[in-house]
Amino acid sequence: MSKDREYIKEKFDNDGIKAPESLSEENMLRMLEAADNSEQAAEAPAAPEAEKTTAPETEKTATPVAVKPASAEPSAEKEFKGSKRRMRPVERRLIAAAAACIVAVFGLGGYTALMNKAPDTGASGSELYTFRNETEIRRTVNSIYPSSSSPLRFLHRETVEDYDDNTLQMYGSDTETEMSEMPSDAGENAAAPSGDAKTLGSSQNGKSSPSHSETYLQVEDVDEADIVKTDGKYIYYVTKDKEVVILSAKNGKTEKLSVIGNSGVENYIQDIYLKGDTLVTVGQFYKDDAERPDSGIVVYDISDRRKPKAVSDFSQSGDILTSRMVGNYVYIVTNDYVQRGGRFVPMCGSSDSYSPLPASDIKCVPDPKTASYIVLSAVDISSGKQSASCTKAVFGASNEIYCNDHALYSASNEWDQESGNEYTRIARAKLDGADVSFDATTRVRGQVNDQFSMDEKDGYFRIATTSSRAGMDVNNLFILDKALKETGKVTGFARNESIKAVRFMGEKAYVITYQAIDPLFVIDLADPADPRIEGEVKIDGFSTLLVPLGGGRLLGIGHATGDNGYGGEYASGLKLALFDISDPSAPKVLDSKEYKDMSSPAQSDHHALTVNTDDGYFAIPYDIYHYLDVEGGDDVVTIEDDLIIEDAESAESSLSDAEDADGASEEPQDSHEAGVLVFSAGDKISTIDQHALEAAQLFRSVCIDGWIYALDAKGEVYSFRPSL
Amino acid sequence: MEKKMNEKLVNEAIAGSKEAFCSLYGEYKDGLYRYALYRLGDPAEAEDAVSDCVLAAWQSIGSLRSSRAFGSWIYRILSNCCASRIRQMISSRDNLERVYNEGPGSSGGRSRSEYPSSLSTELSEALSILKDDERELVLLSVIGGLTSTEVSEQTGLTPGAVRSKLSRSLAKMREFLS
Repeated sequence: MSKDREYIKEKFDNDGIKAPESLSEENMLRMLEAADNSEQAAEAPAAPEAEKTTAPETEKTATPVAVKPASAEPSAEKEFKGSKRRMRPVERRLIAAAAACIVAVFGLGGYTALMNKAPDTGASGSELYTFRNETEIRRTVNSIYPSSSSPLRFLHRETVEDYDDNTLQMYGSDTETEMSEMPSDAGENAAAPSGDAKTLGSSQNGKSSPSHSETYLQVEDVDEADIVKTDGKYIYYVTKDKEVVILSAKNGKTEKLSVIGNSGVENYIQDIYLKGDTLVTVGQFYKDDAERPDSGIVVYDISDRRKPKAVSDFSQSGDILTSRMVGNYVYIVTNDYVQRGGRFVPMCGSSDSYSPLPASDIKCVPDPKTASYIVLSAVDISSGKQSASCTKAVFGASNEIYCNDHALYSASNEWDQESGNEYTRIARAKLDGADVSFDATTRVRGQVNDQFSMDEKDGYFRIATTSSRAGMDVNNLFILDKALKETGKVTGFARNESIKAVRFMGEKAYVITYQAIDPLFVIDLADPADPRIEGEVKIDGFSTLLVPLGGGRLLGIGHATGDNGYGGEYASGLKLALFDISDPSAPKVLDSKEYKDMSSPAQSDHHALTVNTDDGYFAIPYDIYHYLDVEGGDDVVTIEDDLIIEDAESAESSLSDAEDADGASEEPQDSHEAGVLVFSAGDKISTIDQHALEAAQLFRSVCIDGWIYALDAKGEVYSFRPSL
Repeated sequence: MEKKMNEKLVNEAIAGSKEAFCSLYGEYKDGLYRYALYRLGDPAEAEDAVSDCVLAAWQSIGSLRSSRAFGSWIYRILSNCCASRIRQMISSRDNLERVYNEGPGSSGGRSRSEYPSSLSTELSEALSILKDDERELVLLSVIGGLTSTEVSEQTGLTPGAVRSKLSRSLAKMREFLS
């Protein structure tokens, strides 16, 4: 084995890669000095949030500098206008440092004016800005891509001229009016059913007693696309080759009926939706001369399962982030990075009417950080016609989406160059059938873990974040009202830990944080002005998915952790934890189970959880790698090594030459097991069946009439009937 | 020789010398950049990651427990810097590739066509046949020179698992390359 290692190492050594000049020791030294200076400077005149004890908080309504066209070009910045795509952090930090020094001399006003290169679109706050003309837009863009020789020819003059100067509408004074139209019973569909849910599943409630499983969802009746769907008679899944296979499934037997492939357009199918006799593929298209794919859907009539028929399509520019389906409407979200040359506004439409989005449908978040758009479309899949779609865009970017049946919230990570703080930029869109419109924005401290970190109830948006404070992670929960103004918050909890899972259930939030142990926090949200931590319980390992079970119980699916022998921890397998949350002030661990060396896609993707409501069990695909124990090796040596000093020689030597011990000299004889873990979670967690299958890595399982069908990476389907 | 020198520099750096820290960094910069470039596949992102890493490393130099552990320590920081860059990129790209190429929940490597030409195509293609976690093991071990215990600390795998995965990954790469 060490020969492989030597061979590969030599290849790497001879690949000719060298750190560029920008990363030279000298430049790094300058950067560090600059960082120091900027810290000192920041401490002196204005240290906005640095001194507060409760670290993170929502951005107060900013006091934006009056809107004005770009006036003073920052002198500091000019030096750095090189040929680079954008400013490197080194440069940004040097600029910040230079600017900070000037602050010390001239005060904050001078600083702001100096840095105010682009039209100030509301800086860091929630203020709204309306561009007056395309010159301002260009300056905004150029402030993101400061180099004049930027490869990103973002704005093509001729294209710009197609748009009226004043048609760009921003989040304006009409926001309030729009928002007052928001339904006030917002929370009804939000998140999981609370407490006395009738069944195990969170998403299955209210469905007409399905004898089959459905995609596990965050919000009831807000469908999420996945690689597999079933209606109890057929299984539909996306293969490795990006095709959709339709199988009939009965009594554990499957028969392939048809395949939806790349008919005509190059269509890379990522996920699917299913609604009766309609199947919707979500994926990417390569248009004739496009460098990058566009994203979109194709709607198929599958009333004849053997002959699926494409009936309509819709696509929009950008990389698909996520999608949802509510009723007959599919909502698609893409991040559309601005292209070099040509196009500078998002495109959308069906394949025969693909066209630029009118400027009046494009808004802008305050102080955008990236040259990209969040593009959101609603498509009516019952008609599939372009006329039934609606697309809106916001200049900005998105990382996570929370969506219920009337609103979609985009969360994106932002880094504030001046303060060095991390924020989440929130942009909200109203959804009303085929009508979508972005209507509000704000930002809060910290960053979200995933879509479950967000929720809306009764018009209040709740968001849990992890932020960094003095190099230490802390966690926060904010409650925002309909205008996205903060009404209450809990900040700074679980110091030095970060959020791994969140679940909102009505007036409670359940938050898992992790560093060494895994506390479950129960946060009471009943008073939006005064959310408070009500109780907590600690358990080893950490959950990454929280599943409300009803009856005051909560299931956690996540990682077991082990002691690595020198004070650290490593993920050692799958862990299931069952919490009793009936007394929110004193949550308890009812039971937990660890499965050594096991991993499951459900640890990172809630769609991999299958809930069988009929038989009351859960199923998740798993993998187990059995590793042989090897004697000798570097274990013993480096354990001591890490305990400090003595044997770091071995670490050092591995830098220079290939070491035999570490290259794993034994022939790999490890075994791999893939299967489906079936368990129940009543008063205890009980393993019903750990069913190994002759499969490669398994991605999903579905239940139909007591049978479990599992799909592996190659698109093979395995079935078995768990013995209950 | 070099090691002694490094040890001295580390101690000076811990004591607060930026100059010592930077010359120490100089010893590692090519490897760090190479690691970031293969991990991220994009020269600009790699550059950002390395400078993020330098800043973060300097700010937490006090946490360096052993003067000899500098190498694994700085790669650990770099790995985290890369991971946070990937997190930013992942939301928008590769969802498609990710699901099937690396399995759900992986941290979003790039498909081989996205590697810029400045990378060794051969190596990046060989890396692209690996799953994300395997790629990380190879990069940390071969470029970073971390031992499997150090890698296990970084990745959360057991040292045994690291060795097995690593040997399998290296064998796969070699097979691909030869």
